[in-house]
Amino acid sequence: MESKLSNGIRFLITTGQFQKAHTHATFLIEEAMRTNNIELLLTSYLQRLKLHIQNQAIEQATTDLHKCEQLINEHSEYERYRGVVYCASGMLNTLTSNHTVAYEQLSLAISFAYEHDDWLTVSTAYAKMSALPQLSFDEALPLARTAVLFAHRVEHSNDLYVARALLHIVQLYLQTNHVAEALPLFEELQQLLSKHDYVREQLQTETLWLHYYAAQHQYDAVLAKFPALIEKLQHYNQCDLYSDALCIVKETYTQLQQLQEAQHYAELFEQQQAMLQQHPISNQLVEDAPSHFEGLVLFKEQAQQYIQDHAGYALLLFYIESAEPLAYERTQQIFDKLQFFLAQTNLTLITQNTFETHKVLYVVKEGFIDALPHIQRAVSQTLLHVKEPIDLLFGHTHNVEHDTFSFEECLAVCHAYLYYNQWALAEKV
Amino acid sequence: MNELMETVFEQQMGLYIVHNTDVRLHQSFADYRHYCMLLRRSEQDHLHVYALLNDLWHFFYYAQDELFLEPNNSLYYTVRATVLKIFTTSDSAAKVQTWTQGKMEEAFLAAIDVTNMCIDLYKQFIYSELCQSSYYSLVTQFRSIDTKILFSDRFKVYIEHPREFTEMQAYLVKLATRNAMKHEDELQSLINDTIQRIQNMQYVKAKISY
Repeated sequence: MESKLSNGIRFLITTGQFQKAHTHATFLIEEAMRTNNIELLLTSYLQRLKLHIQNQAIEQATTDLHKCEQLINEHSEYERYRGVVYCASGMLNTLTSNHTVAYEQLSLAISFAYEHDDWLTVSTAYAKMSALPQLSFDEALPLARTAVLFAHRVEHSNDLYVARALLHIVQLYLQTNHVAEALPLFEELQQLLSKHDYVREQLQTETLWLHYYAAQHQYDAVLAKFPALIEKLQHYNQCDLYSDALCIVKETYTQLQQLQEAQHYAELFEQQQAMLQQHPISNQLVEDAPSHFEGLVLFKEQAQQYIQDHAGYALLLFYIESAEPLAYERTQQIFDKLQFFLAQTNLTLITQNTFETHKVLYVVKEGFIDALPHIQRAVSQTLLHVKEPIDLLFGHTHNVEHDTFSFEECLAVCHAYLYYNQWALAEKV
Repeated sequence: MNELMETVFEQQMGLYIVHNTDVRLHQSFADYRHYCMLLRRSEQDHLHVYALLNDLWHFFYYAQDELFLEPNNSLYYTVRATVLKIFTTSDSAAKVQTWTQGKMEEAFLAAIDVTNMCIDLYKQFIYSELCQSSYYSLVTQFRSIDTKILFSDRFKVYIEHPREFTEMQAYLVKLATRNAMKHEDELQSLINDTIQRIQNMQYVKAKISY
């Protein structure tokens, strides 16, 4: 049932009946609530959310996104939709210029959707990621190509999905002045779209043609085509494409030195953009404990500055050993205690970072013999304040004492000391 | 996460060696790194997952007579060597190899799928039992660290051999082989699904030119 009803909305969307699709999705949400049909409720919210994103209706989109997140959190049987929810969150964060968050959300979408063979979401997430402004052309192009690959894996209606993915490659080529590479793809798009009445994709292609003419300095063609296109984009309420078109027209008038017209379109463009600026979207999906891997990468850069310094610095690693896995929140409380007691010693704590949920790293100045009593005291005091039967292991590696001047090597030696019990080895010496 | 794959190459963690002038896979990794997002999310920061991915990439890309097992690494990384052996000695693996040999990207995508399959098997049949064992903490300690350091000369002055670590490896190998036998049908079904998945991807890949 859900599939047939969702197909109904999909038909309305592909044929450009966006308002009807919105009404239909809202009706389905009410119906799903009345009959307590959770899957229908989730899929209908997702369809309406996509429409809100397309219309750049940020507040409504955020509300629907949070509803979807809540449903996933409460109903683990619909875990397979996690990927598509992350994808929607990535798109919404892109729209509101939270590009780093958007990248992370789209990356999550790719992994979760791949796990559940949701090729369409994998394709969409790769395509949307390729359009993020922080990526270079060389980083973005493989992403856009991968979107095409996965669009081909969608079993039904894949002309539409392949066309959508191809549009991203064309856009990328045009934005980076690879105009010659874009041209053959226009022909392929023409072949794919000529068989169908896909309104948005047709409009997107027309907008890209406008971009192509501008890139080729065919300004007469831009000025000839844009009034009809802008009218259609407004009619179908395609806000993102409308913004793109305004930007191209503004640039064209600037190139033609018709500054009054350029100013007019610049103002229209700015009005369109003003409502999108930096609107923070919080993620409300319940996730596994963070691994802090990205944080570790940043910490590594910072710590390496000290570790390579022959004046002498040490990496100090603490690890919570417990018979059973501890919750992330609990490990953080223990590390807060440890930090409190370490701060009361005379150790020179330079910088720190948590990683893998049960490890914390510090850069300190002292060598092993000087540091040992302070570490032992802080560890003992911390353990006195922890009810669970845990142990706090540590590894200490001083760059000069160990003749080890790279972060990775110090980290590895610290881990070896966790294993070999550094206190015991010190006694042997 | 790409740093972890670089670590695998730089620390020479691979179980296979090829001719020492052949660095094709390492040099090409940058072109395919975006596929790492397809790995199971929970394991994307797990160094040893990338080590397995690298081994499987080698297995699928090179012809059998170009690959040699690295004897020391087979001892350092016994668990991975066992997992690799279980898969690569099956008829299914040989079939996939005929589709991917000499094709860098296809081999990488196949390696991703088999790596994900191993992660799923680990979660389904091994993880809960491991959590109850005394080795759980030791396994998690070395999640992002090359365990080769334990065999380093630096520590041989004090202790000849990391005994508890090798016992933990033996425990995991037993756990893996016992579960492979106990759940033979489910394992075969999962392998078949993965092979089908790889075949579908190869088919699509052959159709398009991007």
